[in-house]
Amino acid sequence: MLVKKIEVRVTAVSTAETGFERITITEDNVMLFGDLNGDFVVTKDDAIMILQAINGRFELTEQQKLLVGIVDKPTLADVRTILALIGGN
Amino acid sequence: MIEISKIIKKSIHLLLGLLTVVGILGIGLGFTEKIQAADTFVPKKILVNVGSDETNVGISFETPLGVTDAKVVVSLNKTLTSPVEFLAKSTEVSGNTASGPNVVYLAWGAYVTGLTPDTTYYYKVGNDNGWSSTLSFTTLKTSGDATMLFFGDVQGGYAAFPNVLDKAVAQYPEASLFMLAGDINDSEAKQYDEITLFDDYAKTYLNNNIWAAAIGNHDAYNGGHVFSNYFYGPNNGIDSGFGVRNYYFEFNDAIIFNLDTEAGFASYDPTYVKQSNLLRTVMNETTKKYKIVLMHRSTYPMNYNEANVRALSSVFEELEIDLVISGHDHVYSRTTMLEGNKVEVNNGVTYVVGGSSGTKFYNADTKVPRPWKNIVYDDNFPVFSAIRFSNGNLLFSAHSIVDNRVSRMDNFTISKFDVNLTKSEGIDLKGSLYARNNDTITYTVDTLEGYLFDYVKVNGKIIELVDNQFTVENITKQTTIEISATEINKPIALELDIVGNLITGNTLQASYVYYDPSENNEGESIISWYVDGLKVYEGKDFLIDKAYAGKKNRS
Repeated sequence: MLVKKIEVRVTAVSTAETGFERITITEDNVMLFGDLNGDFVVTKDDAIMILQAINGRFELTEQQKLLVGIVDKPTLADVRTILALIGGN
Repeated sequence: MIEISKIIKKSIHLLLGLLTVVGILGIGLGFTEKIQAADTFVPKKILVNVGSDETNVGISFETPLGVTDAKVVVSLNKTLTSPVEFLAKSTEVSGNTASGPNVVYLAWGAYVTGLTPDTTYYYKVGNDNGWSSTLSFTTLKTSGDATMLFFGDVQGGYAAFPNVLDKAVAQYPEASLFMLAGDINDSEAKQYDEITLFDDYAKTYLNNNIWAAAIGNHDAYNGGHVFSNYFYGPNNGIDSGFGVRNYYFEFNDAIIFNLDTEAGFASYDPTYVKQSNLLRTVMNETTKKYKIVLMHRSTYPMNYNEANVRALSSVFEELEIDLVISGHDHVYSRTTMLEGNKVEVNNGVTYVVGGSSGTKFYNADTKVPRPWKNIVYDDNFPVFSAIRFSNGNLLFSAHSIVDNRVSRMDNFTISKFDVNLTKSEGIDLKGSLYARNNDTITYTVDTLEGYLFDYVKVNGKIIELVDNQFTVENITKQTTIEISATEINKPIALELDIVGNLITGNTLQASYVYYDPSENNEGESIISWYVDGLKVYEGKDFLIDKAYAGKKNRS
């Protein structure tokens, strides 16, 4: 896996002078929206996972819910979101 | 001088006391000498005990009951001009005697503070109804070469002990601290008599030199009040309920912990947890080069064999104690141990059992396996040892006195080098500044207010801190450690963090607390975003593009 790390650098500036630059770097990788199974591509497999979750065959993790923007329970609208992403690929 | 009226008064008092007790209780009870406040008296049993460091000492003495106030008067000159006075505190102590009735007396003690190291002071104790003669002591040296003497159990050998002292001082006239491994007393039945004899014989040394004594099993009878009120140590140890029985102090290149092994025998610290925890605090915080423990019972003895005392070895190893000096065994022995194995000096904790400095000698036991056996001197002659700090080394020499001649029968050197460590302003560092070859040392780094931690470099490479700590293994003289912090003298973003979910399509924000020591308001701070080291955006809100997601390596 090619790791993508995001960092932010903040140089504090006051009304009088420019101060120190501070850096912090993310500890986690950036995940692809819709990539439920974490293979770094969005495919029909991710849509199937949501369907299975709708049918109660397993529960999505909080991280997986974040990856599709699900607040409560998965719905067919979420499946359509994934399919739209695939179509856009 | 006791007046005739006082003698009569005392006799009547005694007679009445004895008649009352014998008549009512049917048993014998203590002898009590009580004088009126205006009566004269002579302070007895004056002893200078080590203080918490080279700038203070504890001075103790004894008076009859009825003395209401007493002090220690200290001066830089023999005539005691421009004196400084220290009020002494009294404790009523009952000490048993060979003849049966106890002596009840006042044990006085004062901590004499604010002294200059390596300086001779003159003093007297008492009050206007009774002063001691003018005595003196020389405070310990904080740096440069220094020597301390160490004596094993005296235990009743009071008449013989002065000769051991004479020989030791003749050999090491520069010695400034005298340490005892405990068991000054012999019989539990006459503690008062024995301390009196100890004082009688060694008075000149006790009055005019600085002492530290571990409490032994023969000293701890009835709580050890007679002993602990005589050796008036610094009150910085674990509360024993029986006076000061454990404490620690600094001397020159060393910190020395006087550990009470009797506390582990049906007493106030049964598993030594309390003293071990204090030992941890003291040894972890010290900046002294050498760590020494003084105690009575021995961890690796040749005669006794006490598992609870041996168990202390794990604490000593954890804290990298250099030297443990003890007694109880009446056989001189020395070994260096690490994790139950005998190792070379400088590779573990070195244990010295000081033998006998009196007249009571035991034989090394051969029935129980003693894999720690190394150097043993089992001849029935008195022994004394010297510990010298010289050129940054700890030099240990043990001597026996045979036919009134002194022979060195053991010696070794513990060497430590200064860790090549530099730290900038604003760093508070805990951890040893000294090491033996290939030591492993863990350091704790705290950044002071107004500073910003930069980095720790070991041999030029940056080391990450874990819980404010870093560990350096296999330290040698060539190892370099650099710790840096920057003074916050300009605006800065503190507590910088990235807020938001790391999912493409989401927006991230930089969270921080703006701080400016000049207290100017924040202007247009510059916020730059980087992906894999490449700057991709400048601004407060950063939208994560699909291109920034991690990708599966399919090759």
